[in-house]
Amino acid sequence: MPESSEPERVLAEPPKRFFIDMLTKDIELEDCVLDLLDNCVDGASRKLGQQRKKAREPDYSEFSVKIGYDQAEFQIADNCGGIPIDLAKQYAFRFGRPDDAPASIGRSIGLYGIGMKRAMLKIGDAIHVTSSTGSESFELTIDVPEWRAQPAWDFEMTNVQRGKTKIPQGTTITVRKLRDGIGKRFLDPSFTNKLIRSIERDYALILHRGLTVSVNSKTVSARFPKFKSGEGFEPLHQRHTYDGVDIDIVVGLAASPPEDDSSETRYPDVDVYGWYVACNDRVVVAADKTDMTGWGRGNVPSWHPQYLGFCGVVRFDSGELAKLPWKTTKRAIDTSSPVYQAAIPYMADATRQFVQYTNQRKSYLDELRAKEKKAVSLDIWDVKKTERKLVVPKVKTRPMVSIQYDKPKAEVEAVGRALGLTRASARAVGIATFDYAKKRELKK
Amino acid sequence: MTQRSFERANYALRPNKCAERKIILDCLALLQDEFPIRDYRYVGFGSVWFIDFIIFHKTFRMRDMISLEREKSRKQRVAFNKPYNCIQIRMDHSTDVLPTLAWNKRTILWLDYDDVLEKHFFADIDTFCRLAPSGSALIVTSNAHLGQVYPVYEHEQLQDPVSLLREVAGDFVPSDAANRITGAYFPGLVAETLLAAAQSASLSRPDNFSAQTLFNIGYSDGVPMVTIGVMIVNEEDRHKLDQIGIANHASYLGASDQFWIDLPHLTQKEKLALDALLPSDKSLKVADLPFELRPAELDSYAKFYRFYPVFAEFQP
Repeated sequence: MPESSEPERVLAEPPKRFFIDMLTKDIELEDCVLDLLDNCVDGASRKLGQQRKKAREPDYSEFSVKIGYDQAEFQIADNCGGIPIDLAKQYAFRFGRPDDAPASIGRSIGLYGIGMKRAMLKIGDAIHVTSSTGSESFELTIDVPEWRAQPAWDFEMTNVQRGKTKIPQGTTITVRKLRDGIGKRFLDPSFTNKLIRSIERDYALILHRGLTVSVNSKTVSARFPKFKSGEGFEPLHQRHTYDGVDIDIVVGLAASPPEDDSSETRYPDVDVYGWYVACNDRVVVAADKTDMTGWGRGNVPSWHPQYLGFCGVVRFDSGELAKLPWKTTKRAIDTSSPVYQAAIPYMADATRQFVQYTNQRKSYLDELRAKEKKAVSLDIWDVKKTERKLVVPKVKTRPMVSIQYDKPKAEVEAVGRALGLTRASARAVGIATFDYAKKRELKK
Repeated sequence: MTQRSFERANYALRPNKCAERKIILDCLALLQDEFPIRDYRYVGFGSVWFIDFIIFHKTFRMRDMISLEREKSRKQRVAFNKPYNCIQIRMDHSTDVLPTLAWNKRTILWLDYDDVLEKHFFADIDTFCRLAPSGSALIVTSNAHLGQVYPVYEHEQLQDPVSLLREVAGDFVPSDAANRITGAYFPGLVAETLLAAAQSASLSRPDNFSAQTLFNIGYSDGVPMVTIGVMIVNEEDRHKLDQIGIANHASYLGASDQFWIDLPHLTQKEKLALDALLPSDKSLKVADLPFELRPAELDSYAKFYRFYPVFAEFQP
């Protein structure tokens, strides 16, 4: 059969329903809310960028985000600069960042141009967006079932004001007709408690830069482990660059490790310690104790309760988002990313130094515990000085070990009497027998 | 050796506990119009006293009753003290028994824990709220003493009270817990945590289930305790519950702030003197009394005087 000269086309465009389901299924509701919050932070960065303020150490204190929801409605409202009309038309509402999109200004955290849309579609079927830059503004309404039924992918803007808008700057997204199960999640107090705790921790570095965030009128404050400083302790603090990405590593003692690390001991703070990974100040992985952050790889031991008190923070900062090692849900690290691979040896070395300290600590327990207690606690943003190594106190006393053994009670008592010890504890008898052996067998 | 809780005290001798029981009875009596308590099953911790069983049997004629007892070494003693034939005794921990019960009958479950908050409280709440039929009621009593989040550890650094609470109760702990680790606020925090657990488990069910707060009370007969009550309802039963509007009947019912019972320990002479002034349409003033009381104590007494227990020793 002769071959056709015209190649025939195969349909590959995804049906919308499939696309929406796939997009929204694999993300948790909480992460969707955080994605919307990421957009607010990026808006604030964009605004600061226009004002030519330093992108490196941004001050967000003029910006605030209000998140509110109940059984019937979700709303996130900010004063973070708004979305310019052209940006909205070309990129902001497009699924995915097109190849020709301009590089983002500053160090943004909105990743693949997917977060906002995915979040809105996950939450509900009636979406309304109002955005104003202070000079221009627009509104956008999406009736999701209607939009899904039509072949075109675009949304319609209304009330477009290309100048002199009266709407104050900022963006408000309101979602109603919540999808199945979403309203119940919003009613569930454990959802709100967890959301607030995630924001406290994952936006700690951003909240510290002045951003105000509230959830159902409760203001969220930054929460992050602190590092022991003084009394001979200083956290390790290294700065590296790799392929245009700044890598900042801080490792130190956040709390005294436990003395008793047997399995019966309770460890209330266990979800605080471990490695934290942040990209452009947004925490992506928290309190990690797995091989993702190097535990149990190479000559770093696997995590053990002996290392409670460990805190390591590695921050990747870059204007080129594609180079940062995060995955689209911003809940995991792309461990194959070259920049992450470059950071791993530094992280492993720092972890090892901490492990060494906890081993050494067993021999000088009383002295080191007292120093740990007296040391002050530094917030991560107050760790300014670089230290190539984890600094720990130089100990003066000789290393000690503890001896323990079982002997019949009657015999121990008899030995005690023979050594002139009346009603002595078994411990005292043990020490006396050691001293006796030492005196008899070792030369002075 | 630690004492078993029933060896410490007869519950009937604690005046504030009596008032708590009065609130529960009041609440159930109100519910009766729409929810026939008589036909409910009662599950509780009868101990060797069976106070709640006796009251519920007498007041509502409930006759399907199960007492859970974890002190397996006291099987005969518990059985010996069983006051009625309609009470079954299950010698096991609540966490092991609850999932094995047949959940085809509306139930009132009173988890009258004497202990400080423990993980198994939340397992029990979860089991009940996921399995019990709509219209069932859950009552949970817990120790709310602040000391429970300051355990004596050798390693001081691991004592952060909020982390400890979170280890026990997870995301049910309110996000502002750190500001509420004080004697005055802790009982409210404990109640809120228990209510969140009940709500969360109920919301996980189909048919728009939810947990509706019946009461949230605190009291101290030496140790601060809190008792919360919820009814788990589908949409239809929720409507019925709204119709009753329990909050309109008494200040201590419904989902308002925690109601604190503050009954004083009175001598017999003081009690009789106060009784002679009650009931009163005007609120009584402390200044008018021939002895000292705090206003809160007097208010509590005026509310619950009919239920204030009288103790006497007698030689049989």
